[in-house]
Formats: sequence, C-alpha cells, structure tokens
Amino acid sequence: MRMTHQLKVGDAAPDFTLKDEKKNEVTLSSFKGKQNVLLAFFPLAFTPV
Amino acid sequence: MRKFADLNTQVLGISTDSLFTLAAFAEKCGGLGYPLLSDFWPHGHVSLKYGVLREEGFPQRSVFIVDQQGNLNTIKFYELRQQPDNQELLAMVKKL
Repeated sequence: MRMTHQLKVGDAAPDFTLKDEKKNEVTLSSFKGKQNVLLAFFPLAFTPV
Repeated sequence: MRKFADLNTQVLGISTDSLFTLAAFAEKCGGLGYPLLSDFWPHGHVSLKYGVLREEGFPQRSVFIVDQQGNLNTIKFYELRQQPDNQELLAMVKKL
C-alpha cells in the first residue's frame, strides 16, 4: 500500500473538484460554512472489494 | 442517507472508477441518494492527496468526516471487504 502522506485529525481537508456520476462538478470547499461532509472512499464499483 | 442529511451532512462517495462505471453502478444499486465522485483522471489524484491511493490504483476503503470549518474531524480506515457501519458514522457526525 502506498501512503505518501498521512493526514491527521484537525488538519484542513485537502480541497478538490471532481465530477459525479451525473457529470456535476462537486467542490469540497463549497460546503464550507454550510454542511459537514462525509467522504467515503471505496475501492472499485461492481466488485466485492 | 436521510439521517445524514438530517444532521446537515453531505455524503460523497469517491472511487477511481470512470464516470460511466459509476453511473452504471448507481443505477444498478437503484440510486444511492448521494453523489459518486470519479477520481479517474488524473488517476487517483484526490485519493493520493488523502493518502489512501493503493499501489493497485484504487483507494483504500476509508471515511473522512469534514466539519463545517473544512477541517478533518474523523479519519477511519477499513479492510477492503469491510463495509463502514452507518450507525457508527452517524454517531460520529452527531458529535460535530
């Protein structure tokens, strides 16, 4: 497993913009001051892993 | 997922699959109620930023809870085949 750098609790969450499955752009920092965000990384769609 | 919304929390799924794969996956699941983000290109760059990109090219199963200040409140790693426990995650969000 490659763990280049380890984030710690209390660190600023690295910002990003990615497209969702409906092609909408989602930017993490757009939730700031409005909502909490639960980021769930998952390995591969359609597989048991 | 409504329970997370009730706690003013947006759930975002992220994988290194393409948009097309994620769209098909969401459809197969009958709609997940939260967006699935594609960290496909540049491949895994967000997973890498969060330190969860595995050498196989996909992310470690993990959850990061970001509070409204934009800071990491919770970081949790899971075994590949282990599904996160929603009740446990709800309890963590409640504490925010």
